[in-house]
Amino acid sequence: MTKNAVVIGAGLAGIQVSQQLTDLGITIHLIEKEPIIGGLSTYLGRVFPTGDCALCLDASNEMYDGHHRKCQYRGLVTEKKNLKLYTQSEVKSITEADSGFKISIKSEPRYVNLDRCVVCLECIDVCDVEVADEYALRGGTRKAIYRPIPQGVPHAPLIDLEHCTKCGKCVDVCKVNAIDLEEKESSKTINTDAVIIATGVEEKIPLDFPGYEYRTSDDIISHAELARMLDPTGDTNGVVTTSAGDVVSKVTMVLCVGSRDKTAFEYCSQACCTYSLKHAEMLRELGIDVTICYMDIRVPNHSFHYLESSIEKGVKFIRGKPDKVVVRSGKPVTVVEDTQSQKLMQIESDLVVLASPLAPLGIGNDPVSAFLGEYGFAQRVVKERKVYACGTATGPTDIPTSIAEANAVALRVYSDLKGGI
Amino acid sequence: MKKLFLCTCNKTLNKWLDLERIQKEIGSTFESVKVHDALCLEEGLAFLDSEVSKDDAIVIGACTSQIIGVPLERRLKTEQVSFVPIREHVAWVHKEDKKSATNKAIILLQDGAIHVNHMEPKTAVDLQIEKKILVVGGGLAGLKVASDLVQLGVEVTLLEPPEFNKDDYVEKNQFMADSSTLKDTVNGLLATSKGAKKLNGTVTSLSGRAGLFSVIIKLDDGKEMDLLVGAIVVATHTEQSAPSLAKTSLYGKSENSVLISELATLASNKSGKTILVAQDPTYHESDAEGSYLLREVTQAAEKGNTVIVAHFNIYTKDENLYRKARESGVIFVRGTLEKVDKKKDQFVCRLENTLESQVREFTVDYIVLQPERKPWSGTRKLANTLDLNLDQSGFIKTRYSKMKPVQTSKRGIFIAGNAKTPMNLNDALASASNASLEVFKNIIAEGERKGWIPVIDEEQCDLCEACVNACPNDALRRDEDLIKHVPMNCEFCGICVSACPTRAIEFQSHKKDSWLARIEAIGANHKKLEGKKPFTLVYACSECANASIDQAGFTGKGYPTGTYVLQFPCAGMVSPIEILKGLVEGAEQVIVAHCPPGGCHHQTGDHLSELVVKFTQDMLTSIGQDPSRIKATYMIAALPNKMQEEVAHRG
Amino acid sequence: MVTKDTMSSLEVRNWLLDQPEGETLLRCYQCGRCTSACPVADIEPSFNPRLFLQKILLSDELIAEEQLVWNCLTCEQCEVRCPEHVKIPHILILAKVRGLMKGNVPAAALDRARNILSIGRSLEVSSPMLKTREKMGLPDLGTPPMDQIVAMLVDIGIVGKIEKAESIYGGTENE
Repeated sequence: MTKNAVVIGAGLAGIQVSQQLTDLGITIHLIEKEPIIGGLSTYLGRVFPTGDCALCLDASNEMYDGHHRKCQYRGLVTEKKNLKLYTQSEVKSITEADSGFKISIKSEPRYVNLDRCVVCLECIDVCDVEVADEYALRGGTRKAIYRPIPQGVPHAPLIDLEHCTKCGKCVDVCKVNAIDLEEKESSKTINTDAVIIATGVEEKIPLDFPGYEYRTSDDIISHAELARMLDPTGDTNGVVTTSAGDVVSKVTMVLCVGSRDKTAFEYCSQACCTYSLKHAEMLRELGIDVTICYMDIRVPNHSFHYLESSIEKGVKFIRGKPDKVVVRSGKPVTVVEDTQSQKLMQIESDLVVLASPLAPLGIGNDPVSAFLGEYGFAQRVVKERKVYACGTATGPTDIPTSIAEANAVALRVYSDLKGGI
Repeated sequence: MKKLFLCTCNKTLNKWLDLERIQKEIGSTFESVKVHDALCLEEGLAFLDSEVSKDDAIVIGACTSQIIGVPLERRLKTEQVSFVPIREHVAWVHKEDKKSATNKAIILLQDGAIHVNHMEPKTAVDLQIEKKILVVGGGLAGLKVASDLVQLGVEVTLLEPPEFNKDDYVEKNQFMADSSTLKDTVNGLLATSKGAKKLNGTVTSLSGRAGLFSVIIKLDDGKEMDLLVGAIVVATHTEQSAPSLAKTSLYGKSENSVLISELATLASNKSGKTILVAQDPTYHESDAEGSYLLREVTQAAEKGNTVIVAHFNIYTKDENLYRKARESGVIFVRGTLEKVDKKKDQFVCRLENTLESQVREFTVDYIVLQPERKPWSGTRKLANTLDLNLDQSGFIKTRYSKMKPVQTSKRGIFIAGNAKTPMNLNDALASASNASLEVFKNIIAEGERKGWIPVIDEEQCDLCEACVNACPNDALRRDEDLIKHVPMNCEFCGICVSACPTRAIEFQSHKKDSWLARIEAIGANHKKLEGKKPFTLVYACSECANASIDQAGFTGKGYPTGTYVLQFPCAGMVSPIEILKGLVEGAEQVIVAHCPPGGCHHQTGDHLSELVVKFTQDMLTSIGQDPSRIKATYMIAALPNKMQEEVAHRG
Repeated sequence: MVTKDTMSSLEVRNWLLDQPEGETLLRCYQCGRCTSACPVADIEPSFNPRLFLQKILLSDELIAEEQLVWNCLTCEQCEVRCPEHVKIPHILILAKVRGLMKGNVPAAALDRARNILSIGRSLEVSSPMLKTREKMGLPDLGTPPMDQIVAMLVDIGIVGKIEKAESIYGGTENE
């Protein structure tokens, strides 16, 4: 009998574990709460350690082809026969039944039928409603029917019914009848042999970390927001600007904002040192002056080249954790002790980027949170032969480590469900 | 029959393309031209089912093959298909100029017609795979791989290094985890890997191909044995060596100056001693080594010793280890040990505490050094034997560090755990199971592997072996007076074609003549339709560069018309001949677009195409032509603006 | 300058760790957030709470002679911001106690102590201050209950200690 598994979360680890298991003949139900897959990586554009697309993925549709790479964009995730993807869906309950689980999920309507849409984008063109784009930082807009990011998979647009006026223009223009403004949310129960938690992490928006005036200034931003600005498809076309619209010439980065901090997140978020260095290097390439305030620089060997090239390219390093970033005459000023010269510095810059903690997303989902441990992270094997976790759901880390773990868990699941040759 | 199918994409493409003119002007090239509004939907697929027979050669003018190619691959009866992405490469990027966009579509569809003329059926590759695995062990990950595979019912030979015994798994890997976890894990794995055949010895030679390797092993007793395996996992261990700080610290001169692996013994015998533990600032330690240091100093402090750590960076994945160390009374000083003087039984250590800009002296009983962790001493030799690449630190290099953490440069050979870099136990076990998975997928592979392969013309080949050296996958080998192709190793990239100086290698479906004919036709058709307007040829690899060009369409990053993209399997297949041919046919500019630096899916194509372009530029310079007419650049989907940036803008 | 062997005995460090809440010092990882949060450091560059903690961690006896410690306003901003919840103001108070024990008290501190004994306030209230208060609409300060204050200070033995410190330190009369 065909075994099946439910994977919760279609970030890089969730996609990877799903692909591997479908390759091994296990049917996968992949559940994603966002309208597009890719998780955190969809925000990032270029990622370390290779500096290429976040979307680059291992989608080996050919068994032996252990070497080729394809990207999310290149369709395969949604085209595998034994992989069923549920977007805009959340797990409502997980109950043990027989040898496995009954999992009930609820799906929000997309109002665009994925099986019918040809992605001609005509509907977006005719839509009259323009609202602020949540992915854009500098005033970009989107329509009420929209695609969150151009590379997003599935490619089909979705409708934000909150802003939709139901004028029907998109319905008229869609000759393939893909749009249904009356679509209702749906529920489904899946009987499954195993559950894999791949709920991942989010970059915690630094709203409430005292001292760093994230709320008061749009020139104090997070790394995910900087990544969107550096992305040539973003609303600034890859130009890094201040909230006033000027091109930035000086950036200060603050590491460990809320990480390694008993008041916020006790653990080290592990990936922020590397992505700060990656962004610092990209900013230097644009001729922007960069200062990084750090406590310890923690980069794994496979990303060490970012530290070397940041130093080489003239990124300035200050060892000290800033107490605050304040806005003076419209500019963010970082107040930090350079502990190596024992001098109190007031660094004025155009932009301050806060390396905010990576916080587990699973914790916000009731049925999933029951399987989580310390700090909201899960063990790789939560429950022998039944519940597994991989990727950043087991702790913050970078892509290579996530991928290795997803692959390892795929083997474990296969071995537990199928036993072997 | 040669047929053209055009898709209007929900009747939208006619906004930017004059589909009627296209049908009219191109009608004579094809036996039939059919238009559909949604080829990718079920009705479109059914339409193709009814219209296309097994012997047809067809051109699909629709969206990119990355999208429509997926359902079509499953449904089309013929393999002779050429995709012309009139949506992403034409309509969506030339919205301002319908006439020129239509011209471009016509030119590309005509190119598709020539392309499909040269198309051959894919060659099926022999998939004979030996269902046995060799693990070159020593590291804990080797034991894990053996255990994983044994439990999956795979026959495994675990080759441990000469004179290695099972105690070494704990002994040599102390840094990976706390000792009780480590011992429990090793004991567990020793039990579950019992079914593996364990040997001590070294690999002395490797032949054969992925799926069917022949390995010769020299055993500890001097005997040699021959082993036939389907895949190999290298899971060697690491070794520690004294850091550059050793001399300063009188390491080797005084028995009270030791490496951190001896701290536990030292601390268990004595308490109330003062111990200085020093990191070497020239060495970049891993989180595993950082955590190890924290565990060891905590223990020493808990035993009642005064422990001072001279560090410059604390690296651990477990912040609580660092907290615990501080709370146990370990004193951290951020500075580098500069000078050590012996004073009776003690050492006077001098260092600058950078956090107070003050030089301090500490009188201590012991100096303990954080060693450098190096690959197993036999790694270089093993890598030579197996033909694997090494990284800067001498560890075995992976093929693609982001998504392929256990694949080496050689197909069928994988690495696990500390063979790659020093890892903590948790990561090493994940790495090992990852390798087990890849190996397992290989040996249970069924069905056939198909692709277009290089065909060597024996008459023209002068046995220079340029192709053998250029092939990134060891798929071409010299066998006496012949160059032979090893299809199982081949990744169908075509790099061998551009490497061959005598042009003796033809690549199926991408014959040299086909490129020349296509380039010639594009030049001629462009002149016919666009007159003297300059044009650009983009030779794009079918991986990253093509994805980037598709994304230019999706994101509306338009570029001038008169830009024609020819898709090569890999940019490394492009030779100066195709570049020069482009110029000869009148292209103002030829761009070779490849994957990002170091990110070629075939390993070397990015580098090779840069070399080929540089070489061709030099040729142009020497004959007084403008070398800036040609260039090589990388394109990736995350940078869909690359086409816009690279294609020359004309008035 | 080379500071030699502060660590042969860990006297100051151990003494401080033995005091109530003194062991919170061990959590310090020297990030420097306290110093950048400190309003005193903002106007007095040589006042550096992190550096005080570093010296105590290294058991540097010089901390007892450190007169700058007395500039701490005990505003507790450092403690509020400390990521490891080190009780910094409290530890600086302990550093002051250490100074007191060694007889290293700044004149200004003694002056304030004496003021409390004589007028019930650390600072003498001047007439401009009273005027400002009035302008700001603040209530009348009244007169401190000197009898009670003195009785309480005598009761906890502070008076004798101040007198002792004064005699060691040689504070000047200031009436």
